[in-house]
Amino acid sequence: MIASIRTGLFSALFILAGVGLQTGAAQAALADDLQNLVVQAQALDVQLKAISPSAGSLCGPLVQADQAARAMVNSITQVSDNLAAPLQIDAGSLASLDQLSVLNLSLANESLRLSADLGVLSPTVLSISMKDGIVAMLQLSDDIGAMADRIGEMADKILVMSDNIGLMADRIIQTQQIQNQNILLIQQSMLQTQTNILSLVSVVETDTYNLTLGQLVLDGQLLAARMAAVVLNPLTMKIQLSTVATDVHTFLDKVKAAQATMVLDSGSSTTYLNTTPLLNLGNLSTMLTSLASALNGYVLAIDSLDAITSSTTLSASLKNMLQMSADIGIMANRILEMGDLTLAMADNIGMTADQILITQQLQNVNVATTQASILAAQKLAIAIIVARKL
Amino acid sequence: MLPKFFAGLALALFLIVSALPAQATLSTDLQNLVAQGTTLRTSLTAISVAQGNTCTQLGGFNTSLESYLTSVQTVYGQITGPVTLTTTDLTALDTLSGLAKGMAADSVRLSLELRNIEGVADLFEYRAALSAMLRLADDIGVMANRILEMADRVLVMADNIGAMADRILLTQQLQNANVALTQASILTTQQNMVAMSDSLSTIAYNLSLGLVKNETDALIGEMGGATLTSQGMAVDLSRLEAQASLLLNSTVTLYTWISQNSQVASHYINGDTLTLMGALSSLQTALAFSLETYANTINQLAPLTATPILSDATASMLRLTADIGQMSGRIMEMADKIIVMADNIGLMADRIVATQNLQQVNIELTQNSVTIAQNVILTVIKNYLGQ
Repeated sequence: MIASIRTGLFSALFILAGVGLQTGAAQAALADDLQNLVVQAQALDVQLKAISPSAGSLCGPLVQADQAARAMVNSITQVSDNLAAPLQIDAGSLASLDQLSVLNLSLANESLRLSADLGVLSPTVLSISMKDGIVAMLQLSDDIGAMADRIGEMADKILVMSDNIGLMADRIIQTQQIQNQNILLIQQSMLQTQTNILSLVSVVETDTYNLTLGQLVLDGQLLAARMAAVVLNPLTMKIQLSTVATDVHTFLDKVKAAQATMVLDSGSSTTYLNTTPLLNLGNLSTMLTSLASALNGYVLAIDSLDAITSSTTLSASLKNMLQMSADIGIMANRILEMGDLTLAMADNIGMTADQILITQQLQNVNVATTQASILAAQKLAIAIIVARKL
Repeated sequence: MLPKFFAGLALALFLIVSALPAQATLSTDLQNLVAQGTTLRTSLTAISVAQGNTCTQLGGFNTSLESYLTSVQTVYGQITGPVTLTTTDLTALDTLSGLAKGMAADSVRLSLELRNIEGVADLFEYRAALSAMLRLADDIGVMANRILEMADRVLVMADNIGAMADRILLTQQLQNANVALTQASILTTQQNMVAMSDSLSTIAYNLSLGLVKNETDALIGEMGGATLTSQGMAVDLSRLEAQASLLLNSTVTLYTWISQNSQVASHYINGDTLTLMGALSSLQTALAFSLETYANTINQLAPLTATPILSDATASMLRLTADIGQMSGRIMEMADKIIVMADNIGLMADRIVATQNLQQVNIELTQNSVTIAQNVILTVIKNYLGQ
């Protein structure tokens, strides 16, 4: 009986000692984990403080900071997930929580500073670079906000799991107050950061180009019709082609002006793609093939009239032909570039992906056809120049 | 007669002398462009996604490429008078178009490398590289176009087409073939990049947000309707705690869904989603205010309440405050996640700021109430339970 009581007593003592040791070990592990988080947060704080955005290095440092902030959030979540009751809170752990909260506020203030720096840079940086900076900054503010939440959640979880609240109540209340105060300041910083960043967003809806692009398609079709209606003859060929070359050049100027507007807009804004402008860009490239066909018709006509046309007229006509080929080539390129630029600047690629690809493929085929026609025209022109020794 | 002869001779000499520097300048300019283009091509070949920091590398390269395009444009702009083409000039034009073709092939390689990391990187990380890639494709396309335009212009301005006809034709054919290949590569690059872009309308979340809102409304009703007593407080708080825990689970499930989506797709923000987010944060303040009221009631009833009941009630209260604090945080984070990769951020900027303002005011109120409730409960534990 006595032996059994003694055994029971030893077992109970052993269990108690085990529990005590476990609690002690858990407490030490928690203190270490929290201290490691403080060290990680300090390193992130140093990293953010060292970032000085410039036109040449906008996205790189911010993306790296995003990655470090994400790693920090993951570390906090991991420590929080590993917490197991019962926990004994000590002053060291509470001090670490306080430090974490203060560092979190410092990070939030750094992100606010970075958002102001981006604002200063924005007039001098291309909007495509600014777009990356804006996304990276919003991500950073999201991660720092998440960090604040996770620290708060971890502190609450520690409180729920601890078995010595009564003893540490005053110190815990102090920590909770610091946390609460810092969370409010962090949220204010985050809100200001987001407001600063959102004020930098500038978007042009591509629908605003509809009128210009639609008019270009119309003008181009009329030009192609006029070119097709010209019947060359040996006497008036020079004047006829000179007039057409002037028309083509005038039209080229309109295409260039439209493209220049897009390039100018792209310096300060991103684009929100709509379907109609994409269709118009596709139509423009189709219209180009009509211009190139008309050009080919001219070359064939000149070739057949070659023998009965004077060298002076022929030479001037072929110069005009080469000029037209060059102009239509430039037109084709500018139209393709408008499509490429719109895509590069688009905010909503994912939503219009199918239409973008259809337009790009159509443009590509049409421009290739146009360039092939231009090459054929150039070849024939050169052949006549050689044959007639012009 | 003699003065006329000399005048004619002088004019001829002047024309020869003035034509020669123009010719020499074009040849030198073309050679310089070839040298710069070769350096650029080498630096693009050295870029690899695996090295990391892709957006900085591509950003730096794009800046150099744009300077190069300005140089090409300057040379193009200077071809204003007749030029006498040489084989060297035509070879330089051939090399330039070959360089553009090579760079376009490099852009395809980089776009494939980027697709390979798609699964392991967050959307925002490769979105930055994606923008840089599309800009690269755009710039290489412009470069190929300008070179072709320069070749066309040289042809228009050439005064020795007949003598160089065969060589000119070779150049034109090569340019044409290279531009076609360059454009094909650029199209492939763009297709690879566009295939990586996916977008979701946040309208998909509205149903779940509505359900969370209804459940929150129900919990507010329950909490407002419960009157804590010294006998029943533990049971009442335990029931409310279970309900809050279910609501937290629904909120965290929705949050996880949005987080996972935001790693692979951008978001098209629907106005109703923002309205629901704002409304949810307002409801959180009501929940937190109820907690504050409960904490004060428990504080008043503590002297009359049995220790086991008080102990259970305070434990439930701490869990309730933790859950409600976590919920309000997650609701704010949900909005942040959607905004980061919003497709229509510019169009919705004012609405987003208004929602963020509302959420910020609400979270401030919620956190205050949660902290007050926790502090009161901690004081109760200290004074009556002495744990």
